[in-house]
Amino acid sequence: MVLGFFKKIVIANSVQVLVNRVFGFSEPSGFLLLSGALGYTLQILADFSAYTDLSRGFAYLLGFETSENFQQPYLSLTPTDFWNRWHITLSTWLRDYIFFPTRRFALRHKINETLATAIPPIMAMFVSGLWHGAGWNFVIWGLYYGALIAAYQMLGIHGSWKPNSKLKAFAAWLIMFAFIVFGWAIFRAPSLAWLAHVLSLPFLPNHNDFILALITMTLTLVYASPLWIHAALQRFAKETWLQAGFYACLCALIVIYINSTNSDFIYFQF
Amino acid sequence: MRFYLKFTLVLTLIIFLSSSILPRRYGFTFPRNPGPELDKQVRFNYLDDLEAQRPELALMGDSTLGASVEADELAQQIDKSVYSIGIPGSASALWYLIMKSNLAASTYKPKYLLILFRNSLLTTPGYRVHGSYFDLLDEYAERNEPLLIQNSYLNFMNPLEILAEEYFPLYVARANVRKAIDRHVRYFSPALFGCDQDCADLALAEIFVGADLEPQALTDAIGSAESYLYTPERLDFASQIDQSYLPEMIRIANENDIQLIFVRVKVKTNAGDPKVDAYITSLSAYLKQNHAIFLDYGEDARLTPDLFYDAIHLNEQGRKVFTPILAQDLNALFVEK
Repeated sequence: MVLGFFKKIVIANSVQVLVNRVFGFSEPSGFLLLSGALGYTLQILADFSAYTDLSRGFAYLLGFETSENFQQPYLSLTPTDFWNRWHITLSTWLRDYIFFPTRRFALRHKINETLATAIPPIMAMFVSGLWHGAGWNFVIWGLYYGALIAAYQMLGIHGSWKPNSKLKAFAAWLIMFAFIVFGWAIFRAPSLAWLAHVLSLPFLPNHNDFILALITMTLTLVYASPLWIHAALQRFAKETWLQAGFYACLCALIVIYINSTNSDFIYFQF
Repeated sequence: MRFYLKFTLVLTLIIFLSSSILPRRYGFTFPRNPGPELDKQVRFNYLDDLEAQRPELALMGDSTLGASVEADELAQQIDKSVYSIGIPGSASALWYLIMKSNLAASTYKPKYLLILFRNSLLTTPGYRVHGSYFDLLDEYAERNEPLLIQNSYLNFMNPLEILAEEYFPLYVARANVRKAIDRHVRYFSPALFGCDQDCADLALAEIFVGADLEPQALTDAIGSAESYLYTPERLDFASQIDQSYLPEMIRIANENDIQLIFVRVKVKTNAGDPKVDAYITSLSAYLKQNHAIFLDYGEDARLTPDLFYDAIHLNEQGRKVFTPILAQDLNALFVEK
């Protein structure tokens, strides 16, 4: 619960201020868009997983243990891996009720192998896109993941794929992370026309855009760091004084960030 | 269980350390009065201007004032000298403070004070009083402003918050600590590229002040900021009036022989909302009862949608249309008087 409150009050609420501004500009440079997309990548994880953490925490207080919904999704190496770690309850439902039946249908009717591989993930992810919102952004975002999963599978890279070297693993992670960030840019963009227009603009920013992009990236890194520390402590120092100190610091930061405005940061007055 | 014990011990240590460091760092003493601390300095720039320019009519409002009224053109059309106090980001708390510290304290009092507002802005003392808006208020507030603290801050705190404000240093210092964290984040990476604090501030100011915003984002941002004015509680005039600055603004004006003219501007947010209509009916009756003049353009059909820059601001053409409309009504008023 402490982590849930921290993710929502400290991380998501702080990062969203600049992210909203970047996605609010009519013509940000590609570099500024990248910084905004990175910020949103953090914001949506913090926001979404915070609610899950809180509901799990409250359920636990009442004596119920509910399943995890996020398992470090940004460490995924493939799109299938990502959906096995992101919003797990929804992914499981999509797998069981959309993916598997579509796949069985394709196999039963002896549909062309390429189509039989491509259609089930595209269908499942299309539904996932619609689940997230009734807008073209969400539809395209869902289809984007469907196409990615299909493409990876056609290349022989499935969810359980494990690279045989650290360098390969790093490269796979970097590529997948880039896909994830771009996916969130589609998801968060005010419209697809806006995104297409921004992508057609020069990538390199002017001086002011560059400064804002730097600040947005720093903000993202700073506010992402507690999540890395949390993951490291969970793995290497579980239930130690260090982890106790970490949670105590999170509580202190929640007190500092709760009910304190950050309008100072945005220089935006009507 | 042992882990919770460790956690509790470390948290207690943090609270103990912060309670001894933060009060010294930021100059608090405990227990303290709840609410923000105001400094001693008060700006008298409007007082100086009023004494120097001696206008017959003073205008006051937020950014919608500049967007709606061309002061020089208005002065010409009503044949009276006009002085404009249009402060972007201001609201009733700041208007009350300026009336108190600058208008009432001036040796010269304008005959008329026209306050331009929209919908429930006059009775929402908690609007625009935090963050950088607080810094603006502090410029015109004295060290001791019991009404400001009560109306804009204490009335919005629950008993637990008041207790924390009195006895919990970490909570009291939260805005300062937050500001310090934000400053580090803001200036760290630009400095690595040779852009110091002034350079980073200038870049941000240029980006945000002259921002070319995507129309939907602008609408969303304004809608989100303005939503505060339209909650059922804010639109309940009877419950809000005694907690607002309006009675005190009227008292200050009456004591100083200033005729108040309240002008409600048209906005696109919550247009046609029956709760807003009910609120305005009550406000109108209250102002009439207190001998303040009320000019209502909230539903004026002459201000068509194409005259708006965004949901609350008129565009250049809108200003050209609205200024003579206002001038005409003011002339009619001045003849009556």
